[in-house]
Amino acid sequence: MYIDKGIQTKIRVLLCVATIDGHDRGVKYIARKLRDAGMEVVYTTYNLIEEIVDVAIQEDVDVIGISSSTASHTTLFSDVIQSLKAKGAEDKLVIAGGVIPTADIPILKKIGVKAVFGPGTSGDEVVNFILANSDGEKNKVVK
Amino acid sequence: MKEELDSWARIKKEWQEECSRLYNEKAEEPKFTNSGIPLKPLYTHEDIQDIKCEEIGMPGIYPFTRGVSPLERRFEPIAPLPTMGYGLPEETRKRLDLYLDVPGLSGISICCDMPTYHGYDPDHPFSRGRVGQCGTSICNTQDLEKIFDGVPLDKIKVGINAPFAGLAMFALYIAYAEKRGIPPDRLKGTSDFSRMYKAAFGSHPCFKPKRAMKYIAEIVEYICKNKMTGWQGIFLDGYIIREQGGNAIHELAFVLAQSIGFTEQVIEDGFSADDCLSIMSCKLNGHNDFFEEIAKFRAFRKIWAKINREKFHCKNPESLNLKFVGTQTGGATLTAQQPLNNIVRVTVQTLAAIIGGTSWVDPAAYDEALAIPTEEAETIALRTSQILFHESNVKNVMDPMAGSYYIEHLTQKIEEEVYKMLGEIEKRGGFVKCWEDGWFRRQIEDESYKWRREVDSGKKIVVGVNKFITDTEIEVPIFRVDPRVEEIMVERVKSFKNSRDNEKVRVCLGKLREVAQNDGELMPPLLEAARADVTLGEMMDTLREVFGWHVYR
Repeated sequence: MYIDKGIQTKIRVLLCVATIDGHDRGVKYIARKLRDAGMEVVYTTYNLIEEIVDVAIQEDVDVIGISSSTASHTTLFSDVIQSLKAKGAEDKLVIAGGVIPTADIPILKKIGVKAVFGPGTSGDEVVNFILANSDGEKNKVVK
Repeated sequence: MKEELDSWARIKKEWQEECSRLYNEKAEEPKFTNSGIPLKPLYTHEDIQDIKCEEIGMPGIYPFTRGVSPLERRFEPIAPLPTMGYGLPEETRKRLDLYLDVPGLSGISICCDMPTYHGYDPDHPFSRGRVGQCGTSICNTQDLEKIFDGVPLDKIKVGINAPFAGLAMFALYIAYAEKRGIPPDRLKGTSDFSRMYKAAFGSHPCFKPKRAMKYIAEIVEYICKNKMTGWQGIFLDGYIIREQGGNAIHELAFVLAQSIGFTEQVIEDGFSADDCLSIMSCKLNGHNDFFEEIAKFRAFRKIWAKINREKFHCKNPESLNLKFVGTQTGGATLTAQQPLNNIVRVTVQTLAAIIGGTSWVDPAAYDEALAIPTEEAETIALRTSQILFHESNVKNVMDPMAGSYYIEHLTQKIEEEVYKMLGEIEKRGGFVKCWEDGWFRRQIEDESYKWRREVDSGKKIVVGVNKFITDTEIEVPIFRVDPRVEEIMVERVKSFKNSRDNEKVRVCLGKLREVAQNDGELMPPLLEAARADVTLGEMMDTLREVFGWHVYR
């Protein structure tokens, strides 16, 4: 639970990995870390980009974290961000994890990915980034 | 004798006094192996008093603790079984050519892209962005021809790493070999496509566990019927268990549970335990804890022999002696930070596997935490095993660590722990039930989280990640697959589908569906389909429709 100036917010995060990717060790660790930090985490696997976007909208999440370890990140993230825009949900914070070459980070950022967390990232780093960049505004509860 | 004992007691006492004199105030922090086996600071003959000489035994003799063949280390080089594959099939062939001349090459393993891995065609919507990435794309016999044209399939072992495609990939490969005039009984290879059970350990979609087991068991049955003596049956996988975060005990116990599960399935289908067990092969993970890894290989051979004799009453000596235990060094132990350090990690892991008595090693390339390997990184990995094999002299003597108080003790401890875990699996209803219940995944995830928390807290050190961090990272070259590969493969498969006899395809798929619905033997309709240019994805889509396809978690 993140408490700031009497406003209690619970940040909702969607974490996912493609069923066809299967590298879920890192993302599952992050899921536990975020839960331990008091966030609400929805974890899912997906086949099509549309599934991520639909779940994100239905679950009204603040953050979408997608893990990609099979070199398809550029296509994947540009598809996601385009689809979010098309559905009027571009306010969601999109972050990436997995095996992503350093040289591709600026490309992903240009597309609209707010942060890229590679192998070895500590969970605290991800928690702190989300706390600093998402206020979980949609779930505001006045104390 | 009495004198000897007195003298030992005196020496031991002296040592204890010396220890307390030098370290009296400092309480030694307890130490553990990577899998949590508690360690003493020193081992002596007292620690192995209970171990009988015949338990340690001789290499090539039951229970094979010391090795699978009587003099393997002297006469058979540890030939590398390199894994390769990316982009277009013809690009994969180019990389394959780098290896075909390596003396003593026992085989090659073709890495498939994620769509092929799961049995989807390049033009399937789920394949978008992934075609030719992380492996090559194979969906018909033409793709296989582009990779294997002219390669002596009856001389070198071939593995095609498409674990979820199973029988359908087997059918494609056999149909391709037929075109080349090579009958099944002359083919050599491993069933890399038999690892659908990987879904028990990670987020992979799959048929229902019981159906998946039957689907894979049919590979063994086809091999038996067609006398494919050069082809290994089910390929057991301990690698994935470790990569997902399990420890050495999980690795052995879950691999043995796989083997027990498949053997029971094959028996249920009317074949014998020997049919299944005598042709199995296995891949373990080469990990960081040097001595534990050596002991792991020794314990594995021993438990394998004992279980198959005591539980399945195997009569074929080959069933007790798992000749093909290979090692792939652990990809998840590699770091993206200071990537050149990974060469050292891989060296240590490969050395432990060789000393432990592995049949082959596939050392990882140092850049695997960043992308798929460059040619240079791949070559260094190959050279690593070659340097160890030819220059270090570790290969000259069989099972060189035998008799070490520590190694023998550790081998016994691992055996005990693995038996304990196997008992737990049996109590929970066996491999299929534990898979359905997600029990394996929970065990692995808990272990993975425990490890990661220790890294976060600094209790476990990973050089370059939580200690000895440098601000400037060395840039290493990154291998990239041309993004046009996807476009090309999608085009190819579309025109392939337009130019074949689609009426025949429809009939073949109809037959396949009917057999699947009646739970019949799938290989005959799959082979017929492969010969009629039905694609891998089309066969798998039909089976998915009948059997279901889910991520169980």
